[in-house]
Amino acid sequence: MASRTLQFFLLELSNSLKRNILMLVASVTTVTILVFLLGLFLLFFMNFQRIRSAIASELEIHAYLKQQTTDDQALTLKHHLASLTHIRSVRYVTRDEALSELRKDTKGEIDLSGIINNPLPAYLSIQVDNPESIPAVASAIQSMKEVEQVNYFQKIIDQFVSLFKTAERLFLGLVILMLLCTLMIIHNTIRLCVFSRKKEIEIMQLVGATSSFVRWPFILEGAFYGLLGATLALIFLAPCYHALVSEMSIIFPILPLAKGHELFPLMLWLLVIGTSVGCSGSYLSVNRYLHC
Amino acid sequence: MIEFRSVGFSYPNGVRALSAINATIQKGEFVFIAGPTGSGKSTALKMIYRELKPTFGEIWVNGLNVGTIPPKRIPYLRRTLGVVFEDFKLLHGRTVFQNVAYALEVVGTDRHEIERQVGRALQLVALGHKADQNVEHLSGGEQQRTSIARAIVNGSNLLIADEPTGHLDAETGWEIMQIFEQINKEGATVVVATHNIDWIERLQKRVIFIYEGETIEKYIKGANRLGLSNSSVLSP
Ligand SMILES: Nc1ncnc2c1ncn2[C@@H]1O[C@H](COP(=O)(O)OP(=O)(O)OP(=O)(O)O)[C@@H](O)[C@H]1O
Ligand SMILES: [Mg+2]
Repeated sequence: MASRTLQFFLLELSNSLKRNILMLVASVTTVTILVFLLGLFLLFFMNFQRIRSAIASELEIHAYLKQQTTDDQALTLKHHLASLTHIRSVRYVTRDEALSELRKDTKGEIDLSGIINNPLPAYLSIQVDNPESIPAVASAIQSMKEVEQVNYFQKIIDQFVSLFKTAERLFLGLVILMLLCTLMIIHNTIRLCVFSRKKEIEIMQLVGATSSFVRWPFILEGAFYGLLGATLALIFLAPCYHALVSEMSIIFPILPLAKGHELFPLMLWLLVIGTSVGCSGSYLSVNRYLHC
Repeated sequence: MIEFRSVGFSYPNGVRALSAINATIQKGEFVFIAGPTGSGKSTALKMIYRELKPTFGEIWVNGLNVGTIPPKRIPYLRRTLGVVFEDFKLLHGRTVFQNVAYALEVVGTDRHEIERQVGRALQLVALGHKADQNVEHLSGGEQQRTSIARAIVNGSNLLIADEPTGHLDAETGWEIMQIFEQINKEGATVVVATHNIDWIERLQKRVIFIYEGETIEKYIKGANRLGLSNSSVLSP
């Protein structure tokens, strides 16, 4: 595009914004509200996933080894398990370590000094990549000859897995619905704006403007609506989210909520969504009045 | 310059607007297209600048068969001619200068050249002093003069006008007709559709009659024999 033409388009943009101030307000407000709501949803979704994986990373399978298993056998087994899919890490806990862990966990509330022959078995503590794979991994380990018994709080984990699965689906559904609503409503608003300038578009074509020459200023305008709306949405969203997070961290200090720079990708996405919806809305609306 | 060869046109709703248009307009001519309301004058003009595509027949403009050009080429056709409408069709919220300049912006003319050409066009329609006025604040006659300036600013030598004085009083309308005559004297071909018999009689130009979708071509000299001053002329 010649710089002369670009200059003309930018001039057209600024004039059009001045002339169509009501449309500017209507479009930008629509984008702001919708991107704000979408942002709120995405923040909830993002934190939900963080909490979920934080909980998941705490879950582990304990595979208790048979009494006669030697350290060497245990370590071989450990390495073998670590190489399997779904298994993230394996830790070998010897009988002595098991006892000292027990001492630590009970914090001397139970007198363990009378124990002479350590009754605790050695075990492998296994972390998997996600909670859904726990049952399958556990049953595979159970069938190994060195393993006496496998423990993984089956009931709790099954409930956890199904609860989070349902919640995640619901959330994802809502996010998609919200995204579609955002696209549709913004498109409609822009379509009305363009419709009110149908005559202008016809005149431009009568004077010999090519379709792209008519289209560009509208696309720039749509991008401007989208970008401005999304920026305003972020400006409103930031303090709301900040307040919510500080409240939540007082009540549940361990929640791994996203903060600071962790939010940048999301913010960038919202800006991209706002701008591209503005562009595409204009593009599609103007096309209805162009003859090629 | 313009040639209609057995042109017919039907609107999508089935209305047959034109059935047999035959006419040749020479370079440098000033021609009126006359006929009663609904006879198809606007339809015929719209086909010249490819607002409509003939249902059958051919229209040649500057050596181009305009019915067959691909939609992508339409803007380029329109840059070779200027069109003036009854309702002016100006871009609202813009100045006189911006409206006239738009026809040059579309071809990417540089700023200095635009100022020069727009200045020249506005001078021709005697509107130089209103260049920076918003077109909505102009009188009807001034708006029409703006649209004439826009039609000629790109240097095209074909001017088409559809009922250009329809929204204007007689005196202002006459001024507009005189501007057309001036433009024609400077070499451009001018085609004006009107049912204003007054202009036709005063200007003594060739007239192409359209009646019930067909052309009846007569020179004004013979018009009195046809009883032009009397509306019965419009029946063959
Ligand atoms: N968009 C349209 N759809 C359907 N029919 C149309 C359309 N425009 C015009 N017509 C019909 O086509 C015929 C010719 O119309 P046209 O506008 O060309 O007449 P005209 O000679 O320009 O009339 P006027 O002097 O009133 O401007 C008329 O019967 C009219 O009703
Ligand atoms: Mg008409």
